[in-house]
Amino acid sequence: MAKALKILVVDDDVDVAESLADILEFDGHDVALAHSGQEAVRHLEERAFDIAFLDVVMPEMNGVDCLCKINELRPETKVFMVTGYSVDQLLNQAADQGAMGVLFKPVAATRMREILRTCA
Amino acid sequence: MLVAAHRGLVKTTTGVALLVAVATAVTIPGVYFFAAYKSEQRQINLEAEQTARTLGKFVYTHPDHWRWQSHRLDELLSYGAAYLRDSHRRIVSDDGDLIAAFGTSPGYPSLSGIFRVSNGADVVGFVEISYSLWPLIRQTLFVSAIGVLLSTAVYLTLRSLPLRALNRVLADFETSRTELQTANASITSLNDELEQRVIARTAELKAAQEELLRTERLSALGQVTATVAHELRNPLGAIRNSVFLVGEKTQHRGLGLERMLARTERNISRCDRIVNELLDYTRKKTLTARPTPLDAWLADVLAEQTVPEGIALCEELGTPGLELAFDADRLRRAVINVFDNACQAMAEWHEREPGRDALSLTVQTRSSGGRAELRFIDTGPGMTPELLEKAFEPLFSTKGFGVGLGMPTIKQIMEQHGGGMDVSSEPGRGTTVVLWLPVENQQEEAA
Repeated sequence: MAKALKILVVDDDVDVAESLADILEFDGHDVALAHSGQEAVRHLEERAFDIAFLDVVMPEMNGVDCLCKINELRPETKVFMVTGYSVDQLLNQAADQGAMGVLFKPVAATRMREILRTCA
Repeated sequence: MLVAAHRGLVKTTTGVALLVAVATAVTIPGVYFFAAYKSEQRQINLEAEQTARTLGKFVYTHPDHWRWQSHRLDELLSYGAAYLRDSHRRIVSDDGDLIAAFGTSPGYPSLSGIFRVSNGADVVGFVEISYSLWPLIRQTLFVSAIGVLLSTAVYLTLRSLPLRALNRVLADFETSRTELQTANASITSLNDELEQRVIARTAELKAAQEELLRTERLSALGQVTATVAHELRNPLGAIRNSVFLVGEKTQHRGLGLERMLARTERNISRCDRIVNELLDYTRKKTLTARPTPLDAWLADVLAEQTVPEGIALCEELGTPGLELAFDADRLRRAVINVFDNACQAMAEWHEREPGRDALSLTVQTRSSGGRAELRFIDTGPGMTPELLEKAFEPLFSTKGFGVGLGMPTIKQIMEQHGGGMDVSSEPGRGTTVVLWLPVENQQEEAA
């Protein structure tokens, strides 16, 4: 079992966020859930995270805006963007803002484990 | 028709002119002869009357012997002869005896005038003056000649005047007709040209309209699929993760869930492929073309594929060293699509009608005529021409599953590369799909 990480999962789709969190928690990580950009910011204001999985398309504050906020609050957090379909402009902006990578939905658990192994 | 009308008019004009000419030729001498005849007759009658009256006076003064005064009678008869040339004058008694005569008999034809001689109470004889008609006939003939000349002139004038006018009209008409024919030919030519242009434009319009409909349909499809993809990928992700976790948690517990979980995972992947296929066709991706050795690349792609049981894969790569610039990711998708289509068709055919042997898929590369070709030759069920035509229509599928965007996507990928896709098929014999890319001259030569 790899080192336990503090992970923030941000997705406006509750089931997606929870199903991802379930696997991460099963693997022994410390997982926090947020269903909007604002909620994610609140979590980051409270404590630091090693890794954040950020849904790109969300109402009000989208993933890229959230990434900018994370960069301000917790620049050490490694951020991965998660998207259902390609919004090239947003993905390019995210890359410019220092996102570590992009995961396409549906995210395979094996792929996520691979990423966490490299980040641990 | 015009020539017939012209001939008719000429005939009529000639007839009228001839009639007028004949009338002129007959009328002039006729009128002349009649007038002269009347005038001479009057003259003779008058002369006869005068002579008779003078003789009457002489008879009155010489009642008994006037008959024998021959020299007086001759003198009386000769009087006035100067006026009437070649006249023959006679004095005849009342009982028919010739008393005196002057001049020679005029012969036939002649004109004569008789007047009775009276002594105041009784008729004692007659004075007869005859005159030859030949001088009058000669004059009449002369006048006739003039009349004929005149009538000929009238005939010619009458005949030529309307003909000249007609000829002028005909010449004008001919000019107009030529101009009309030229204009007509020009109009016909323009008409033909216009018709051709209308046909061409109509075809262009129809093609544009079809393209527009297709684009609109795909645009609407694109919007729908983008939404559907997003909306489906989230629940799919949630299902996939949950199933994964169920699998992890129940592993090695002897619950016998493995097959069910594997089936669930398989079908999640299938749904994922459908979403990808839809997105692939509707999303316009920019190509990232890099020079790649075609044969080596294709061999790698083919090596990754699983060939169904019972199908032989033959690789005949014939362009070693040929390097082409293409988007490896997109072309890979096209190749896999063609490969999967061929394998699936052959496998299903085999399942439906077993006992066939020599099911094979031959993959060739070749370069000629400015194109690099990737040929996929299968010995599967093939397609009828109707089916082949429909294969390129979006949303058409012969498979039990799939959305029917495979062939249109392959075509789209090849066209994005400036190349294309050709398909030939024969039912019961197999299908050949050719994917081609344009080759620069120097590359072809180098190859």
